[in-house]
Amino acid sequence: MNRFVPADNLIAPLGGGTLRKWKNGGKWAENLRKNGKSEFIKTGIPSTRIEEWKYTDLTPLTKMDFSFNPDKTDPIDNALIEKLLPPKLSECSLVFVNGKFSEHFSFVHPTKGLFIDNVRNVIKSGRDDVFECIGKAGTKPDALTNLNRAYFNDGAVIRIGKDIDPGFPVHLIFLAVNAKSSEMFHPGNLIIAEEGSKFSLIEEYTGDPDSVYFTNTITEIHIKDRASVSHYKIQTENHSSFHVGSLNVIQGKDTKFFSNTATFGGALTRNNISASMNGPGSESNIEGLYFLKGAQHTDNHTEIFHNFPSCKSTENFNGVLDGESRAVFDGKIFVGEGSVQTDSTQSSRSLLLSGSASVDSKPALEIYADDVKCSHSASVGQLDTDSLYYLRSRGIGHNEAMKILTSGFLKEILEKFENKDVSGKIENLLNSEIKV
Amino acid sequence: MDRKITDKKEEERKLFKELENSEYKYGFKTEIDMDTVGKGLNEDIVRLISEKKDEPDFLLEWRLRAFRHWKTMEMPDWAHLKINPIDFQEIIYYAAPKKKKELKSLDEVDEEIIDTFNRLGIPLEEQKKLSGVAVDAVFDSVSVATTFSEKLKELGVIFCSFSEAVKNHPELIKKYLGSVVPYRDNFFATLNSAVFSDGTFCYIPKGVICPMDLSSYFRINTANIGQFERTLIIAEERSSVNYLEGCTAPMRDENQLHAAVVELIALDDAKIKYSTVQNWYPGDKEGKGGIYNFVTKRGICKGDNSKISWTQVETGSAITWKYPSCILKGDNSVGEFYSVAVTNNYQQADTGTKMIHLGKNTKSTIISKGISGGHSNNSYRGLVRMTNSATNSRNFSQCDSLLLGDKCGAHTFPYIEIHENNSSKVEHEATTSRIGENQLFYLQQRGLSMEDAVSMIVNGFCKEVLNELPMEFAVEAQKLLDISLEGSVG
Repeated sequence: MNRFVPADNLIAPLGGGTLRKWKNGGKWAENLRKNGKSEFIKTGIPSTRIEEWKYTDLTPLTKMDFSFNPDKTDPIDNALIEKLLPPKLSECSLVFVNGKFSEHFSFVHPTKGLFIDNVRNVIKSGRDDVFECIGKAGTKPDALTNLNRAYFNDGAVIRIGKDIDPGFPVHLIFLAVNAKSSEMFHPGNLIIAEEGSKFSLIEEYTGDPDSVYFTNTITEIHIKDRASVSHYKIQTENHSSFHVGSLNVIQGKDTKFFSNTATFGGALTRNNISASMNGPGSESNIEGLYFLKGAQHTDNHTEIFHNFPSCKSTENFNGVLDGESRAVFDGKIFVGEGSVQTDSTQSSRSLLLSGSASVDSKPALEIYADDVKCSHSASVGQLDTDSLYYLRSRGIGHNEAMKILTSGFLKEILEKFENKDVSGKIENLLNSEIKV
Repeated sequence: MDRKITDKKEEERKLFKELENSEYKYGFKTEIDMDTVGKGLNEDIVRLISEKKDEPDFLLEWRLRAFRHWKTMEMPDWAHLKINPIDFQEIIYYAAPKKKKELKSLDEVDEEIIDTFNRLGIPLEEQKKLSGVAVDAVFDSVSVATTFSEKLKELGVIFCSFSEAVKNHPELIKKYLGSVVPYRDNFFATLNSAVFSDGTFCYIPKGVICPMDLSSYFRINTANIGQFERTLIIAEERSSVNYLEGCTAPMRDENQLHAAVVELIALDDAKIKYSTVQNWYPGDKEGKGGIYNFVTKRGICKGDNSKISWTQVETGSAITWKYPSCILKGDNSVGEFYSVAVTNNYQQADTGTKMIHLGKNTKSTIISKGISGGHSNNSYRGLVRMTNSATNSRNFSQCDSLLLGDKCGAHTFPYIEIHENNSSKVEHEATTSRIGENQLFYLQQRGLSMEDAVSMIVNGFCKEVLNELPMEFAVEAQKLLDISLEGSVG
């Protein structure tokens, strides 16, 4: 088997260079797409022989016939969207339907120092300069990033001005509706938190139960000196969809970053999370939880880079697996030469409810500095029989006790949430999922 | 007290010298075997090796199959190692055991080596054997080795060189060779299968508890270990054996590449404990030269209630690349891996283990301690796999790294795979840190020198693993750690 598999089907909808409506923007946008396309064609998609994809097989994607047409003429019934749209968690929200910004369902609360718009609008109104830093966060672009860039067309653009704290989160909703003909979406979001600002972002991905689609999204967050950003991602796509989401974060001096990725949906999900601390005194907290059942497959792939001294990072992923589901955790903590006074912990825990579920875990430490304190732990197992006995001896039924312990295991992660609306929502999702 | 010992040693030395000189009077018979084949590797060389060793056809066939397969393989590059390209056509694949140049007395041995010997506390007699000084016939005849082999014979234990085993016990070789590490296993194991020169064979019959630790050092005719060594140990039902490989003394060797294969087979209720102390030449302080130690070691707990335990102390070699592994096939079988890997200067190590759980109620423990200093890189890489059939199984892994400089690296790459199994438990923990300043301060203010304080902390850090070594080995290994880390702190 080769290290890469050609995937011309994923690039075919780009067509033969005819300028489509979504291909707007200046020379830079053209170059971004052109580069993405040519780099993707060079490699194709990685096979399981590539270390980073050892446990996640993307080849089913090459066998699908995906279309890409965000500007199709038959509009989707607003009533249907209304029905499917998840409740908003903020007074300020941007809604993207099938990858395209929907003015009708979005609401932007004008706030001083806060710039919120969508990619197409930003380009149309000639404020392209905000894109100067696009692609600067994250490691060397992989095949899926290149694919996303080849289709660069829409997404959220947010810039938080110096020392601004809007006081409310921004909720991004990506909804897939009526995508029966195997559509794919490639949103690209860009968030810039200027010096000393404070910001909170919620990304939500969901779709109707009948669609078959492939979401390949990138969210890029630039956190300038002294700024602080919290990020929540909730993914409840349907069980026949593919989801690849990359979160690329670059942090300056004395910054704070918190991220939580909650995965409930998707037939195949891959979350790439990369945080680079490129200034001293910064902090990065990467958290995640997942609940899988049926034949779901979720791969959480994280990289935390300690490139400067006196940085701190924590990472916690907890997951529950039922049915024949499969989870992958591949987390790397990298401490570069001279990054002394590093304090870093990482933990990955999985709970197997079914004898047909599988977990592959690869927590890695790569350390090139001596004055560091790094640790990681990983465990895979079942509910603790002592705890179960404790609850049962107090008159709680077996199923109820199992439910309490299972949700308790995942709620550990929720406790660290600053945004109680988000944790409340995830808790509800959990309670509806956990049926023992 | 010290003086007494020195006096005594001086006396001994004089005595030995006299003996040696007297021996010299009768002259040496130094056979220098010129029986070598030119450089390079092709099918004819493989045939020639087999022919020279007078091997049965099945073994030649096996070698040839391995060689043909090897030609289709590429050298793997996944390890966290920087390896200069190896020209496999520049290696001499067959050289009959050459007698080392015999020295007349220890005075001729490099002072540096003698110094290391003394610090390791290696007895004078052993020092000579290790450095190739002729040993008096009188001493040899009463040597432990001879007494050992007689006793082993009585019990039916077969402990001999691989070539002898091929001649005398071909049925055992045919049955077990390649049964744990097949010739197609990996690049270096396949190469070894095609061109292996010699090695150790060990067979413990049913119900026999081997009365003494078997050691490659005590095996007669072990002078030249060789570049492509092959070890096969079979422990029959209810038997038990401890095997020691290598020694703490520094080993200088001209061959740069060492690609050995070790296979262990434990049948029902059998126990094998395999301890290694590796102190090959690590290259100089600038990282020039040194041995590439690329070894495939694997044991199978074939029978129920069997146990295989690996203990290793790795301080030598420019590059160490090995993963002593256990396949836990029998129900209730147990696998253990205890490792200390020390890298200094420009040494590199990528080592760890694999625990493959197949049987029910199988248990495995991994304790790995990595210490890096200088410009070295030290990686732990391990795999724990629980398959569907390994119900109620358990693994615990702990991998700690200690950094002794700001130019070195310590890495941990564990792989945990649990497939369709919800009755087993796997736990992995790892930490990386340096020696705390407060720890050093505490010891120093109690009068310990910096060096002693570091040595004490390092020894404490490795204690869990050193405790697994046989007594006399453990003492030497502790001192070895000190010597390996010399100059890395401060």
